[in-house]
Amino acid sequence: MEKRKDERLDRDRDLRLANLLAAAQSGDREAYASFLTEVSALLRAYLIRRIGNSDAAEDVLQEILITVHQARHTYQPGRPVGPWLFAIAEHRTSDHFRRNRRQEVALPDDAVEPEPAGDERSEVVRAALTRLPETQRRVIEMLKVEDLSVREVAERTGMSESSVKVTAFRGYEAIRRILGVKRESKLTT
Amino acid sequence: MRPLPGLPLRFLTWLGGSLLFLAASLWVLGARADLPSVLRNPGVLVQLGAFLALAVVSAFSALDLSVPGSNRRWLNALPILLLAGTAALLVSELIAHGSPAGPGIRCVRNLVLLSLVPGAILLRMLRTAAPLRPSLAALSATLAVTALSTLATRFVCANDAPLHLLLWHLLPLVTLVCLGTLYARVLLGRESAVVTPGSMYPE
Repeated sequence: MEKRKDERLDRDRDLRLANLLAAAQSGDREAYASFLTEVSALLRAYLIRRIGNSDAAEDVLQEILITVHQARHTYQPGRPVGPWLFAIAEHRTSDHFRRNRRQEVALPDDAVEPEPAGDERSEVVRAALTRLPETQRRVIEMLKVEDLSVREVAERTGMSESSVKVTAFRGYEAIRRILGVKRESKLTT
Repeated sequence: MRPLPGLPLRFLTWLGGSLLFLAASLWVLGARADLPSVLRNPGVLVQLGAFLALAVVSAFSALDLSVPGSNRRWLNALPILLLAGTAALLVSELIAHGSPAGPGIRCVRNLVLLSLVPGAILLRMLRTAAPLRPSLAALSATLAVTALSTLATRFVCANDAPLHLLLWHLLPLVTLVCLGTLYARVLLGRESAVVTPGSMYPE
C-alpha cells in the first residue's frame, strides 16, 4: 500500500484498533464489538467524503463490515491495521462505483439534496423538472416533493435503492444542464 | 479463530504438498531414461530454472493477493513478465536450433494430471483467505500450478526440441492458465461464508 494511505490512521489509533482486532481473533467479543464500532465511525466519515451520498455511504459501509467480518482471520497480528482495513474499504467503494457506473467524484451535499430557495427560482427548476424523462421526474418528485426516503421510493417504484439513487443523480444532472448550472452551484427547487 | 499463517509458511505448505504429490506421480509415470545427463545440460537447467522461478513467484503473488492490504504490485506483475521471458527463451532456442515438434498429447495429459493436486491445494488456500481481486489471484494461482506441473513434465518427457516445448508444454500451459483463471475466479469470487449484519460478532 502506498504510504499516503496509511495516514488515514494515526499511529495511536492504528495500534488501538490492531490490539482490538488481535483480541477479537482470540475470541474476545467485547474487543470485537469495540473494534467494529470504532471502525464504523471512521469509515462512515471516509465514505461520505468519497461517495458524497449518506444513504449510499451507509450501504457501502455495511458491505465493508461484512467483508471485514469474513476476512478478520487474514489480519496479521502485530502489523498495522490501516492498510488491511482501507484495502477492503477501497475495494468495496470501487465495487459500488462500478455498480452504479458513476464517476468517482466527491459531490457536495446539495448535489443530491437540493436546498429550498426563492419562488422564482423554484418555478424555473419545476419547469426544468417537467422536461425530464418520466422515470427521473417521478423519482425526484417522490424524493423532494413528497419527501419520501430512498427506500420508500424503491418500494413504490419496484426499483432497487441503488437504481433510485442513480436515477435521481441523473435527473439532477439533467436539470443542471437544462438550467445551464455548473455542478458546484447549488441546485434549488 | 486462528489468524491465517504468514505468507512464507503458506507458500512452503503449498510447495511441500505439491512436491510430494509430484514426486509420487513421477515415480508412477516413470522418469525419462536420460534424466541424469539432461540435468547436466546448462541449457535445460536454465529452462527448468525459468519454470521453477515462474511457479515460485506466481504462488507468492497468489498468496499475497489473498490477504487484503498486503498487495505488493511489483510482485503481482512479475508472473506475467516471467512467463513472457520464458516464452522468449524458448522462441530464441527455436530460432537458433529449430526442429520438428514431435507428438505431444501425452505431455498435455501429464501436464493436466500433474496440476490437479497442486491446484486443489492452492485453490483451497485462497478460498480460506480473502482475495479482494479474485481474477488476479486466480491468474497467479493457475500460473503457479501449471508452471510447476510443466516443470515436472520435463522429468518425464524426453523431447527437448524447442518447437515441441512451445507447442506441447508452453501452449497448453497458457491454455490451462486461461481456463483455470475463469474457473478459479468463479470459485474465489463467491462468498466463502454467509454473513448477515446480525451475525457480525464471533460465535
